[in-house]
Amino acid sequence: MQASQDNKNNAIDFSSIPVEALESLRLRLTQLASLSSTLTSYSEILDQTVTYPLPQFPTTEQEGLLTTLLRKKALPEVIDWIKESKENSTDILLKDDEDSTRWAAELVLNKRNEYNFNDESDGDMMVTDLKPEPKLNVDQVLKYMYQGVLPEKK
Amino acid sequence: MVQQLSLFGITTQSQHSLLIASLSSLVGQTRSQKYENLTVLAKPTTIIKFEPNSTKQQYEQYKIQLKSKIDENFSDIESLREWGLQVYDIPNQTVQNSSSTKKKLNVNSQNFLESYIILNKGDKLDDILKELGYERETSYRIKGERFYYGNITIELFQILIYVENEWILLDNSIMVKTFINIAKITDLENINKSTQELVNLKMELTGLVDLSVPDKNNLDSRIGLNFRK
Repeated sequence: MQASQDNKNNAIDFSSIPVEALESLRLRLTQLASLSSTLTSYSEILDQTVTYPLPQFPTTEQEGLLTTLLRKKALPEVIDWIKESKENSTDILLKDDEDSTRWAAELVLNKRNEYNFNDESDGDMMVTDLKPEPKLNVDQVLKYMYQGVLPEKK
Repeated sequence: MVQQLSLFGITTQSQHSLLIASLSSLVGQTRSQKYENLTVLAKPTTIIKFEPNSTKQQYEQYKIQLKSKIDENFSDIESLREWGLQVYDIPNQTVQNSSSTKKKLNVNSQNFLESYIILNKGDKLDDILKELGYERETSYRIKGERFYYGNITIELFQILIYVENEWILLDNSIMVKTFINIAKITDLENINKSTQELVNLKMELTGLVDLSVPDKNNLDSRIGLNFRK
């Protein structure tokens, strides 16, 4: 911002620059920045604070001001700003996003392999390294268990 | 005589971890209880032919199941000293004729007798069986894990059979058995309550594993009619 101003200063006639107005704007911006940082540092307290008007407040005359002061939702125009900036920021990062998704997926896989989620004896108890398709049904297995008779086809 | 109410299901190995995870969260048990046992199926040495409709006095012969806890390193059947002995009756009728209405049972109901044999040093299982008039017919290993849900025991297991000096899986499937044992077969109130519990579990597991009442002929361990050798 400073740089662009300098460029302007060089290109255009010096005398026509409203120095005072710019100075005052710079001051306001500093104040705003200070206000914003103060608000941020006290945000936790402010979030929990409940505000209400004192009895002395001229409620009927200043109703408009009161509602503005106590308003919790962002103003419609502010909502629009937020929406706009969100929209602006999405299309830029699409490719980066894909990369980071892949990176995250890989990281999860790698990290998962580092831990043992199963009981150590799991592998020993159940025999799992075999063809997945069962050939027998419940009745055939039970017949073997109770009568010792294997199905004919073997 | 103990009455066992049960429902059976079967699942594939690919579903195993999903099923375990679901059951863990359902029953609130972070890890299942692993178990492994050897089952010996014994048959009577002398088989008496069972004649239906005969007026002569007859008795039914049953196969006996003997179970003993084993571990990974199991090799010799003679090293097992403690055996649980079970004789299962044919499952009860699934369709009950109560007065006028026909009521279909929602669970498998089977009575069994249970006892224990502790072998002294020098005793051999075969000798004990011989004294009972039985002989070893076949044996298989069961590897599985258990969950407990209310009064229900949920067992997931695989069967291993001994073929050519090696224990191999009978099948790639994983059997699911859910059951409640009722100490007295006359305890109707408990039977009704337990039946409902099992049916509720079945509903709970819908889509994950299909629990059902198996064909009762497959749970029949009687000799006479079925096995004439």
